[in-house]
Amino acid sequence: MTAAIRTQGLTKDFGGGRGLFDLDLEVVEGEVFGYLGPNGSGKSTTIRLLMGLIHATRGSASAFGLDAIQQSVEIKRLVGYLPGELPQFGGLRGRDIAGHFGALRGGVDQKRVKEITERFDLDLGLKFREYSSGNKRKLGILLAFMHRPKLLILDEPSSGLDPLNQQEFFKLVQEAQADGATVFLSSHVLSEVEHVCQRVGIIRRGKLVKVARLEDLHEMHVRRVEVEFAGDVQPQLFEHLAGVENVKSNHHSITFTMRGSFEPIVDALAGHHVVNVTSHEPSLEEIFLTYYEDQPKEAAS
Amino acid sequence: MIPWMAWRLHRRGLIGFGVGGFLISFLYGAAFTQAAGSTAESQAAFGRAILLVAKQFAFIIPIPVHPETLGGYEQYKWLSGAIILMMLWAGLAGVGIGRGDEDRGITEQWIAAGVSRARLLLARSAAFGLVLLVACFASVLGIAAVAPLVHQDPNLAGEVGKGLSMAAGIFTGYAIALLISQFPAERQTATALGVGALVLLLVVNGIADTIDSASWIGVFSPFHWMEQTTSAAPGGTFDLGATLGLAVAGAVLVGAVIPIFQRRDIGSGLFTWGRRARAAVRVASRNVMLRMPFTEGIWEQRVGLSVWVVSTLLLGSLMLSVTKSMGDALFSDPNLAQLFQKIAPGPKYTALLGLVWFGIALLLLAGYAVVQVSRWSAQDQEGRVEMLLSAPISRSRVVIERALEFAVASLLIVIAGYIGVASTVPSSGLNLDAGHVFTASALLWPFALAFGGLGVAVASRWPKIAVPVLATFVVVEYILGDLGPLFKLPTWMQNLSVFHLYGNPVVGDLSWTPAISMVLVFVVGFGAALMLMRQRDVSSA
Repeated sequence: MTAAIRTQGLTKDFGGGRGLFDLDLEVVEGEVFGYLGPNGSGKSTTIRLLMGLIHATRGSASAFGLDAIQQSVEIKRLVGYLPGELPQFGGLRGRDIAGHFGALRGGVDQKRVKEITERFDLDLGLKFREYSSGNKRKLGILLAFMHRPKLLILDEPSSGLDPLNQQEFFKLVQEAQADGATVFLSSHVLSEVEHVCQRVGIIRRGKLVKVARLEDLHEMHVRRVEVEFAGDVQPQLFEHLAGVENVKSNHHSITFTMRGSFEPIVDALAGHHVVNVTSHEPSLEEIFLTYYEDQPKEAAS
Repeated sequence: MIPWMAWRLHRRGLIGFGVGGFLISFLYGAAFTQAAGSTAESQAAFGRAILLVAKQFAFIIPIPVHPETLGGYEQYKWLSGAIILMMLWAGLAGVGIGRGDEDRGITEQWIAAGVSRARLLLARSAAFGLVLLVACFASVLGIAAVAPLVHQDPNLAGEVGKGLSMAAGIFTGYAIALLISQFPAERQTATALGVGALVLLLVVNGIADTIDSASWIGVFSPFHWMEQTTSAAPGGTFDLGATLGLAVAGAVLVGAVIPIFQRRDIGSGLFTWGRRARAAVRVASRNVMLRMPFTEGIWEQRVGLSVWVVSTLLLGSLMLSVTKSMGDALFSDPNLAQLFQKIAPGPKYTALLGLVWFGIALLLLAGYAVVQVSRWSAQDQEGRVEMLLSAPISRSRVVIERALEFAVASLLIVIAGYIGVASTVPSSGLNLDAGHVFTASALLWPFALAFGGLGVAVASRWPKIAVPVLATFVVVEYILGDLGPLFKLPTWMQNLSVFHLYGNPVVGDLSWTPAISMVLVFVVGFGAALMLMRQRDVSSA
């Protein structure tokens, strides 16, 4: 698989610790990559660097092997872009905006425009200033998807959409992926994008702190386990098991933290009269939030 | 709170009209003895010449009082124009406070913070009133400050009186625009109606000033009441009643807006009509203008551009039609004719046309350049350029399209001006050289391009400050062109002014060097724009 997006040491230093620093990232062709981080973490800066709108302080960014600055026009022939906020088009009507950008790109099929506007119930007859924020978002989605791009770069695409339109949007993303497109989408809410992304990257204060598959995020996280026995239990039985830490016993029960597979635990429990086992698995959102904290445990370890 | 609001929300206007107004007053004052001479006789002759010429412009600018004095000269030469410019500013501010703040979400924020609508409106109006007062005083105090340097009476009390009258009248204009802005459904309509109403009141006053039987309609115009105070000139009148009346009228109008503002929805006018039912549109426009390079910009500004084109055509025709009678009055006095020939050599009537029409056309085109740059600047800051660059087009193409858009639009305005003048020549009673009229009209285009080139360069790199930079540049260039000969500045310095480079080609004073220089300014500005746009970061954030 070739890289749809590749950055090496990509840095944009705005001064005062603000910006994006030493980003090494690779998004493979055909995947949906979620780029997650809190507000002001550097998501939009990364996207603007990829789009060649701003210049890197150092490092490089490319899409399909094309340099983001030197071959910016060639890249944009392949890209569908949705900015974090759509610009003010004032008195222009939706159809004029779609017509203008369609003409700039060339090769936009009216059937595709019709299909997307119908799916989102978007009326192109209104003036831009008459659109609600949700409808402005839908118009942005139309502009990004109408030419069936090979790479979609979407900055917080689902913000402002109601749940039904969010669902429709994610269907559109899945269809684009099925057609072979690569999707790079940013968000600050994991639950919004977890069902379409194969991998996520988590950025905090301008630095990428984690890139992982969603299931890996689950697996690598610590779980709290409590086992109740019919009789007394010896904690030493569990202290040396792989991934087990913080073992504490209390007469008939034992609690410990663990990471990784349950198999060693199940083997150790064999031959004991177990009354109850509880394992608290944090939600993906809880895992995600640990990376938002100032001292993320996983990154530190 | 009010001084803070005044500074935070109107600082550009305050700096522009305050500092700019003071400097312009000061500079024109400093040039007074160069223009009028230093003896009582020469100043009296100068005053007579101005009076004769001024009668032809009475429709727009009132007949001067004691133009042989510094205060009278400045009251005519600068303050009368400043009142019109500041009235337009006040109109835009009235609509901006009435509706623009709502479009930007500022009003919503204030109200959400617990500020009542009445208090918000009163605070915003008081802040603008304060800014207006400072700006008006700055202009008149520039006259008092320069007076000792040219051995003239500072007339401080008179200047303050004139400043008060201006502030009261212009505040009334602000209140009229504020009131009108409450009614239409959209801000754009409110802007057109609000500013249009003030222009209409200027015309009403012009009619009242020039047609005796219609003089009574002047009472409806704040311009009329401002004209009652002529105290900037020594021996002029300060009309306390008119000034107080204007101030009270302004306050009453602002008060009248409060219940309307309280009644209507934020973001809507008092009168809104339901939308007609129609089927939803699901396809993109096939409009050819949107599909061709650069024509999208022309299409988008089609209404505004049409206004520029039609206004230029009508103004060209009007100015040519009054040139003959203006010249007859001016040249009937041999001394004045001689004085005029010193200022504008060549065939007398043709030279007068050069000053009367082509001088105005230069200002119109420079003004259009500022308007166009303001449009690019807004588009940049609102994220339009970011969105454009998300399509497969280069940054160079954005600059080229801007340059082409400006070139085509300014050419349309120039052609309209030529048509206006050329169509009036047969009935003007003037014996004009058609070739010279054509050449002078054609040279307006490179003149406009020079400002467009500079504008495109500044807007490409520093969109946020492009408008004040270009507007300041236009003012400096104009003053340099206007005062350079009076101060006998070296030729190379005068040639730094594009206004001076244009010269007065309608009298046959045509040299290719200035024309080429103006085109070169455009080319250099355009080239710089290409380079600057490539280097900068484009982001609406």
